[in-house]
Amino acid sequence: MNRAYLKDIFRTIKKNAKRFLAILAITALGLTAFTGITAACRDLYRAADRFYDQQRLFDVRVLSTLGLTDEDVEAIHAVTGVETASGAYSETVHLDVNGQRQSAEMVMLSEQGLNRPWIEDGSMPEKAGEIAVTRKYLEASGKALGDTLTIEEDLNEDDDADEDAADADAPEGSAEPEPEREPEPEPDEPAEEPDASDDDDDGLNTDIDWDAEVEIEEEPETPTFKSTTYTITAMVVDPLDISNNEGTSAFRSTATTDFTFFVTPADVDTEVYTAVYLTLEGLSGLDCYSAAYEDAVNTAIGLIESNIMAQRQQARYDSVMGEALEIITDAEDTMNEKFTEADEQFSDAWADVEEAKRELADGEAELTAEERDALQKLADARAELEDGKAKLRDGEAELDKGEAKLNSQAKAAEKTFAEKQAGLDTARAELSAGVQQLQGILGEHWPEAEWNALVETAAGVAAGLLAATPDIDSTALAQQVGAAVAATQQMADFSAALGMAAGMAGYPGDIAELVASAAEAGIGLGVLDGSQQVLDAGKQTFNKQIAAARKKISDGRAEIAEGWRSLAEGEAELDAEEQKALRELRDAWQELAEGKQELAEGEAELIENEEKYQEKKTEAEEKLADAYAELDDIDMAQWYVQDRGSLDSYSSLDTDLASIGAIGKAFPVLFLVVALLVSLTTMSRLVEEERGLIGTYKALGFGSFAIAWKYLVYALLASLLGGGGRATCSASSLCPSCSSSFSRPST
Amino acid sequence: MPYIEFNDIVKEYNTGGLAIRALDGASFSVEKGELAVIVGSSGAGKTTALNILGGMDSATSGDVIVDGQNVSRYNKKQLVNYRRLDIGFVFQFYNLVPNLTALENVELAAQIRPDSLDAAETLTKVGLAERIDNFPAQLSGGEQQRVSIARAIAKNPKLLLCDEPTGALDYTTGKQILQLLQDTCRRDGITVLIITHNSALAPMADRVIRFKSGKVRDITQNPNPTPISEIEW
Repeated sequence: MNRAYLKDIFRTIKKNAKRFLAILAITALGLTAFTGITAACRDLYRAADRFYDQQRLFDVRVLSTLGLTDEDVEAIHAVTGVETASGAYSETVHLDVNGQRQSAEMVMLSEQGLNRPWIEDGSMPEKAGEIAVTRKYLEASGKALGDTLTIEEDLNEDDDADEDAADADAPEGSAEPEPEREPEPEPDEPAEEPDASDDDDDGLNTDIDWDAEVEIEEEPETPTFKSTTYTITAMVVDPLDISNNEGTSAFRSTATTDFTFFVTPADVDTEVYTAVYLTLEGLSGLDCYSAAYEDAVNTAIGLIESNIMAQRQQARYDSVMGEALEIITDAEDTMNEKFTEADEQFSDAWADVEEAKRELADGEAELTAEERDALQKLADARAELEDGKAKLRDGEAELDKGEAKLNSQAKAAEKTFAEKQAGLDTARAELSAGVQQLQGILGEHWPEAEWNALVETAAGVAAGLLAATPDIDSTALAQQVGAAVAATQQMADFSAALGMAAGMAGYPGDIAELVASAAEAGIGLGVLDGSQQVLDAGKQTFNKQIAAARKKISDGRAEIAEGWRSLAEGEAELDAEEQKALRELRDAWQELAEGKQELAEGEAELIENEEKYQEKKTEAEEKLADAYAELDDIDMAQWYVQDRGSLDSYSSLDTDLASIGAIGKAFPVLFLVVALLVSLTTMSRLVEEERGLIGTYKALGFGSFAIAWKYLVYALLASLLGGGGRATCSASSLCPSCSSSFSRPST
Repeated sequence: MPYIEFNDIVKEYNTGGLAIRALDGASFSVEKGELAVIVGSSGAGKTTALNILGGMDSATSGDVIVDGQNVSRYNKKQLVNYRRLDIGFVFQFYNLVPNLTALENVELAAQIRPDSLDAAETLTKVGLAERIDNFPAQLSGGEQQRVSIARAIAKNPKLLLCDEPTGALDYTTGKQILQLLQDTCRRDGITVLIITHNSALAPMADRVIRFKSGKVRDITQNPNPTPISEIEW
């Protein structure tokens, strides 16, 4: 290059230093705007990358709609490129912060050291009961390190799509129709009482103890976090949420809980992880916002999704479904058992009801029949009574008749007897006189005994003869008797005796005559006696007969009276019985009606109960169906394999910085346009001023480009110095505008 | 064949429909090694002709032939080369680069082309040995013009074109300059064309070209040019 020309150029610059500096300055400014912003962005990116590397933020995160298990963690760890895999658990809890109930996310610290919170103050929790909190919490609650906080015991905050406890608790159904009674009035024959009696107590028991309860048991909710009170040991920054750390309103904060807490795994009791975090091999050297990092992560995600996701999803789904299905089918079995029981009971009850109905119908039929019978019987009885009365009246009449007849007979007989007696008496008197005479003669020698024996014998014979032939003539009789007696011993004895006696007495007369006359007299007496006997007997008999007849009549009368009495009684009784029967019939009908009523009520109750049961049954079945449906609703486990972009603070940092970066690209353009214009005007002026010089150069034979080169150098140098210097300054991060919250010394 | 041929050059300016002819069919020729003086009143077209000859302006029509080359048909690149290699120009108002010293100014021209003369020598030749490190601002008019001449000479050109070189100088200094030019012409054999409106200088030239109203009215050859020192005006 033309050395002199170069000198000219530089001296031009020197001479026009202010202009040169103006361009330099405006370029520097524009570049500041550009590099400052860009460098700031880049520095922030780098700082974030450093921070994330330091805190071992995950590269890939796996979430599952059904949670994750240790097997999942192992499977993930086995994927090529995965360095560390860590199962994580977090849960929303509530606590009181200065009187307000607020929510906090309790996070279990990773055992593998992933996602370590960054300590601002204090030391990380090491054992159970210790907790790390964010600055935000300490400010909000006014607490400090060393203080304690208490969380609420949250049970069942899950919004699992699992089964609910379906309680179909029904009051015990009971239907008890009253025991029915079957009255059976039994009016009998006349003179018998119509009878009504209560029948057996048909205890119709429709007291059903049914149970249509379906309870789908959930596992008992145990709190995941073992303690409710913790000691604050550190104030930290959550690496997953760096934008929500401070203050009550962070710009574009999308956190759903108010605070974040960290506890050691010792405090967490869980079998399922909410997420699995993993880091990949060999990525620590890459800037996490760069394309290379994203590619590596995407590759890993691709591997996970293609190699293990499907199997693990299926495995988890099967496991969950299996458990749930078991619970539901258990509940279903129980429910069916209960239904069967209840159904049995109901059918029994219905059978009972039917039986009761039948019995009531029977009873009614019986009652009707019996009523009919009873009434019939009553009528019959009445009729009979009337009959009886008639009969009695007849009887009475007959008796009267009979009595009259008897009286007349008696009278006649008496007359006859009297006559006969008179005769006998007469005869006796006669005889007796004679006997007495005799006796007087003989006095004490009278053979009384033989006399009596003779007489007795004669009497006997006479009696016998009279008995045999009552109509015998007395003379014949005497004769016969005498004949008969004469042959007897008694005669002999008497004769002997008399003879003796006469002898003894000194009877002067003819003893044989005496004896004969005595014997005759005796016989005659005997005959008289005999006749008397017979008469007596006859009288007796007659009297007896009369008496008997009278008795009979009186008996008859008495009977009739009795009959009247008993008829009256019977009537009374019949009346009473009728009343009773009617009453009882009435009662029986009433009871039947009542029984029916009660049966109806009981039936209604049973129906009601059954309806309730059906309702509850339907409810229970529905609940079961719901549970099954819910089970169906449990979709196949869905894994979500995410990278850091899923973190709000990460991606919002990215977008924020991108926005700022975009501004950093657009805004400086403005500056640079201004710089351009400034340069343009400056250079234009310079060129204008050096027009003559340019002409001279041209005259000297400098080419157009060579001449332009002077001004190009001028402008280029100015802008390059301005811009380059500024850029260099920015690149070395010396400018205080590049410092950020991440340049605090890290532990 | 004359060294320089200026054939029927027309230079027309068209401003707003009005055509102004600075040169209206001017023609002249100059032989090699001649000192030609171009005279004419202001506005006669002298500077225009010189500019065209020097390749700094283009003719509307006509030919300019220098050393057998039709300069007026040159394209830009050829013109640049022409200016660079064949022409040395001396301006009325020196047109030195103010930022550069005398030496650098001359070096500027010298370093354009390969076979240039040594700048310091040239300056010495023009009598500015003590002034080589002075900036134009530190030089008097005559010195500046000398630097200008040195600059032009250092290029070792075919033609040395001077547009009223003494116009801004006083009488004595002017004479010195003219002397210098004359010496250069005689000594180095460079064809020199000098524009002046001072017709008293005519005797110094080998050829006098008179311009009037854009035309060459008169070309006078002078077989015995007078040395400047002898010319008084």
